[in-house]
Amino acid sequence: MFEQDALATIVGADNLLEHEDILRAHSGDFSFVPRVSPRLVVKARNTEEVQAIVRWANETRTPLVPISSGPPHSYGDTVPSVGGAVIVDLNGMKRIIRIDRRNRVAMIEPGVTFTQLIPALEKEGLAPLTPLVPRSSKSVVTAFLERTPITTPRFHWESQDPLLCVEVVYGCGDLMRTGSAAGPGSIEEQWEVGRAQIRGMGPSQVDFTRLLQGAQGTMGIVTWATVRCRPLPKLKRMFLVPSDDLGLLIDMAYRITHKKLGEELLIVNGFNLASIVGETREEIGMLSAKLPLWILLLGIDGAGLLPEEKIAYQEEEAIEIAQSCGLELKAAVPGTSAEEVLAVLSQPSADAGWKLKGGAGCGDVFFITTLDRCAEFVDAAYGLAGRYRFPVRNLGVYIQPMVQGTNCHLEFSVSYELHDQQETDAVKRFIEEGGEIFANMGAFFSRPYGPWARIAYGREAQTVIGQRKLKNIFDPNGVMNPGKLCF
Amino acid sequence: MSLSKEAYRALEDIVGPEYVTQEPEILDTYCFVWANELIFGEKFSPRPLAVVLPETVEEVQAIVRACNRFGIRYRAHATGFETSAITSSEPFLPIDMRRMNRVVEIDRTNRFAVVEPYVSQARLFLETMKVGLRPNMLGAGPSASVLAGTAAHFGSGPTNISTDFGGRNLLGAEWVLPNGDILRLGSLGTGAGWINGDGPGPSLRGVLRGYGGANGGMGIFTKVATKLYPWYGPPKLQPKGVPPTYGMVIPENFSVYCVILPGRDKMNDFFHLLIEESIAFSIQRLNPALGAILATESNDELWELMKNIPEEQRRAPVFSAIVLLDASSAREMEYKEKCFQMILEQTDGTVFPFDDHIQGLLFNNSVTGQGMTRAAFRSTGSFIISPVGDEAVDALTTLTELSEKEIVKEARDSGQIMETAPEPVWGVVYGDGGAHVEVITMYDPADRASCKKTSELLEKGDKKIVEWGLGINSLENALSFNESALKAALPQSRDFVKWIKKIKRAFDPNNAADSAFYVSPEDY
Repeated sequence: MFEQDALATIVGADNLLEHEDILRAHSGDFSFVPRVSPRLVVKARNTEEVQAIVRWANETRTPLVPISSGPPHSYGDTVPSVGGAVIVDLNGMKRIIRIDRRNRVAMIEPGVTFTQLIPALEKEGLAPLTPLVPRSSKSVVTAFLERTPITTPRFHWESQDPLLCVEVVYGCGDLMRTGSAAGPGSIEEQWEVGRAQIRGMGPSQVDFTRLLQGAQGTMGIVTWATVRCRPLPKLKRMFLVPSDDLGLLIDMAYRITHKKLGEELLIVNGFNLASIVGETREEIGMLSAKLPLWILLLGIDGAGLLPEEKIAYQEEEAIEIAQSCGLELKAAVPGTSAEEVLAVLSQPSADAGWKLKGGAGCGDVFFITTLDRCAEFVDAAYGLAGRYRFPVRNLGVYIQPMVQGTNCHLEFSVSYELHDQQETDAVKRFIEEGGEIFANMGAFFSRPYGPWARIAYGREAQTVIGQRKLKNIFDPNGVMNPGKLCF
Repeated sequence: MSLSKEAYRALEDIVGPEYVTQEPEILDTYCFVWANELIFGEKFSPRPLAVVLPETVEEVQAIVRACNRFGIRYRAHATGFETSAITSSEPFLPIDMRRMNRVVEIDRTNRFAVVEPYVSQARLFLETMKVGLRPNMLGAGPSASVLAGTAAHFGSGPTNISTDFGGRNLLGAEWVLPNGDILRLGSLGTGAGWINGDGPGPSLRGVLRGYGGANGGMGIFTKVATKLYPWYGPPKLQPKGVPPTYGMVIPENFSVYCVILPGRDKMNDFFHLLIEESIAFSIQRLNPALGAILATESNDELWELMKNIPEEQRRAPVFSAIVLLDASSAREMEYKEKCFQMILEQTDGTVFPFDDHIQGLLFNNSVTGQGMTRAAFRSTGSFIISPVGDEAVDALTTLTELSEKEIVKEARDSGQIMETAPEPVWGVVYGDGGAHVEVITMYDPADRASCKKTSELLEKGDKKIVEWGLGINSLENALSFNESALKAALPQSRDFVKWIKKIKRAFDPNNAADSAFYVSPEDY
């Protein structure tokens, strides 16, 4: 109780939440990690409070689990792995600190969602780089701290993008700004001389932002970040390219990235596209039956000085590429239109997110591979669906070219009945055993949530040793989200 | 520090007697380095303990372990270029990587290459252009190591607008840690190949390098994977002219322009528009003096050219840029040309009408980085870059303006450095936004007064850039001997330097990897 008083002094008693329902909500998520109830939820409002909380945690050896997005959560990273943990809820830190149109940079706090950021950027002539239809409560900072892929590979020069600089309270309680935000001078002084916190690497000869990315909150708590934005297009065209042959679409995706055409570029199967555009489970089921097996989505921005001309020449180029692959750019396919897809892709998904519509459960397996290997992973996934006896028609596939097409994010999503134990068990096995099988085939679990941590870290001891050295430097008492990754 | 007979024998056992030496005449070639005179007052830095040339990662590992065992300070050296490549304040063991010179793999489909340390960017470009690809090109020129620019040192170059900064192209590394353990970064370590350098979880790529590389202070990279980019030109370029001022025949769907902007603000706008429109293959901000050196065969020819230009004209600021456009089709080129003309109109830019010869030369420079280093060296025999900045476009033109007013003009007026037009700058812009500038001072390395003035300029640059709030100098330490730029930024640098030093201590407990151009383990 005494420790709790100390926390109340930091954030105010109103910001300490210990109601049973709240603690229960934070004790589990849609993943299959074991349920562990936190001891308390503390809502932080600013950097000073975050720093004081972390220092308090070090004094009391209390595990902290930072959380910025609203529910639902899916990967277990925000569920405590040990008892007695305090959830540090950053959802109330919602300030959009600055939007710099000229340099296309936004500085935002961790509670800022895509729902909040999109209209704010739009006023300035910008748009965010976004993951595939993020849920409305998704924190922008968390999405990019966790290296969630964006739908626009042209702007994805490398894995760190579009995250730039951050302010972080390390696990030991020290505060630091990374990248070019590190200094000299305060942030306001940097703005005065035209600096924009635009260079994420550094400062100096260590890339501190990168040490925080993918860390699942195990190194520290980020209290603001700068993120790269894109010009708001004046015009926009979306094209759908259907095919029953994934290989043809992969070929087209390579050619599109080689010519640096368009902005949005991704491939989904019919079930996923149905889940994205459909409203109810019934509608998703119907659409899924109608839609082509595979669909490549290509969006072209009409931004800049010559929006019409840009779209026109890129459309012609894309048509030629499609033709050379035996494919066709379409404005509509059975079940949906490019216009409808564009509208859905332009906004966050309402409520729980596109995979959880209608109260369904969803289990994901995702990893990095290359486009040319996707087909063999897809075959393996369908094989696993048969082995675990869940309906193949409920298996969603999402292929996102990343790093300008050099590699890709491949995601399998299995929709299931939450109250059907047999289906639930099958999905759990798919995620755990399937992860191992995919890894043996050469899948790279760069974001190893839950059971994938063992799979990923079991393959390279030196990575474990190296990361533990870092953990010991930045969080020597191990208060930050213990039990995750290799910590 | 000395090398015992036992330690020398251990090195011989690892690489064979023919690949390790203590012959003075060979060792001296490893301590005669450009700009040494600014650090030591003479061309020679301390003679190395020995030189060893490994051929495999296993040999590198064994050498590093031997160094840890015998208390020998070591540093790897690839193509080498400047003091940060090989100069140190005390004798150490250079590990010369020249035998590790293979292009291991070019993955045409997924657009990356795996290279060993001694692969130059010219060689990789020659190989990749055959399959319609190209690497990032460093300003250091065609002979520079791809690995150094990707993993170990820096990474700015003319093509950064279309390839981004060198360090952002790293997809994987085989890394002999300072203690001799081997870490395979990212996907490589998990058996998934060279496709991604980040993860699992927090990325150790952040330890491998930051904005600047560790310059050998964090172990040795024996292979790296670097991202490649589309090359829309022919499989082979056609040389044109006679060295040194040779160019290339400009292929179809490439256009090179030298653009003069009417002022600083317009130049800023010009760069911002080019970044946002994403139409360029390369962009360089270039002081006319550097351009003139680049275009002439000798100093005599340069002088003939310069003396015909009225003094007031020679001393007037000129805001100029070299821009290369590329396209995969005539249709795309038409769009890009139209877009470029609109940018010129909006920024009141004019295209300087160079003849075919100069156009070919500028094309060659824009594509390969060839010539700029020669230009910077030729007129006086040496040069340094300071101040150096890397941030938003507007902030960097402020940096070059202030540098001219408060640092360079006085040095130039003293007559101790090469006379150039104001703001002797080479700069580039990055594809994802932001820019990089280097203020170039050409000095006479054989003239003590010139060296003294240049050293003063360097010191002033370290301090002034912090005072202006525009950054930390010398590539944020990657070009600073014994942390001089970081120390000049105290107390502001203390907050982050302490973390770098902790990382150094954790990964290099014996302080075996030489830190002359990284950070020492000792706290300030």
